[in-house]
Amino acid sequence: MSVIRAVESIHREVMVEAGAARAFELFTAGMTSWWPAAHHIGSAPIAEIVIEPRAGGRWFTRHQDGTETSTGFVTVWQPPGRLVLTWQIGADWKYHDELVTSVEVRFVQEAPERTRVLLEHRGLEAFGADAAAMRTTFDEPGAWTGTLAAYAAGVGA
Amino acid sequence: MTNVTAMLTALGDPTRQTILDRLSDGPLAVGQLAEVLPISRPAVSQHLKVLKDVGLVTDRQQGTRRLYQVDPDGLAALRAHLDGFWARSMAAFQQRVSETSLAHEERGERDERDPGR
Repeated sequence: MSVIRAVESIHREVMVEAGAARAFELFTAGMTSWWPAAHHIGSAPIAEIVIEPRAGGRWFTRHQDGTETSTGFVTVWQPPGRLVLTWQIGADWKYHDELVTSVEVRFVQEAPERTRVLLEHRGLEAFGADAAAMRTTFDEPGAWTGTLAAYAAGVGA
Repeated sequence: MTNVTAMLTALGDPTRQTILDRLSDGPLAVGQLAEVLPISRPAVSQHLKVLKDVGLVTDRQQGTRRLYQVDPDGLAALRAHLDGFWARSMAAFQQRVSETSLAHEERGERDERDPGR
């Protein structure tokens, strides 16, 4: 059923200096404090990023002009160990009901103040059906282009 | 960036998505694709040309047939965009946790820091 099976999931892993409970709390309730500020799909800067703390809860951004944009929903809410969100931002940089990719985050505590955070973004083949419009996205400086340029310059490969 | 843009534009066509899907199971010739798709052989060829031009598909001659297959490098470029975003975001998350850990440290809760990788 996959359109582009060869697009494997994205895996990212970081070690953070916190117990799993606090790491989970910062990742979810504190998302506004770490999410790259330029990375949003609204008409105004980010005021707040909200993940409603329950399965079925919304993941959305409140913007400084009072508008809201959706990113997806919570499908698994199991603090402090596991979180699964849907990422429904399409190739055209808009939210789509029917476009569903998944972001799973696991928090594995390895010491009292040390937690391994593993992120998997999967189901990326869903982007294929929507990909034509991504042209616009990539052509807009400050959207993906700006984010990735900053990443390439700052974080490295 | 241009390559990825072209790739995504090429993938906007449902038939090309289907072709790529078929090819992800292994190399196929034009005729084999035409058998399983509701379009003519010349139409399949045309779509393959588009996919090849943007770097999503490669071809090679095998005996009398030309076989088409998914170009893993092309798909990797597509995926790399999202990967880059998460790399940056997770690094920011890690840093944010460290900042709050520092606050803990100042209150004497910890005496050693190890920022991980």
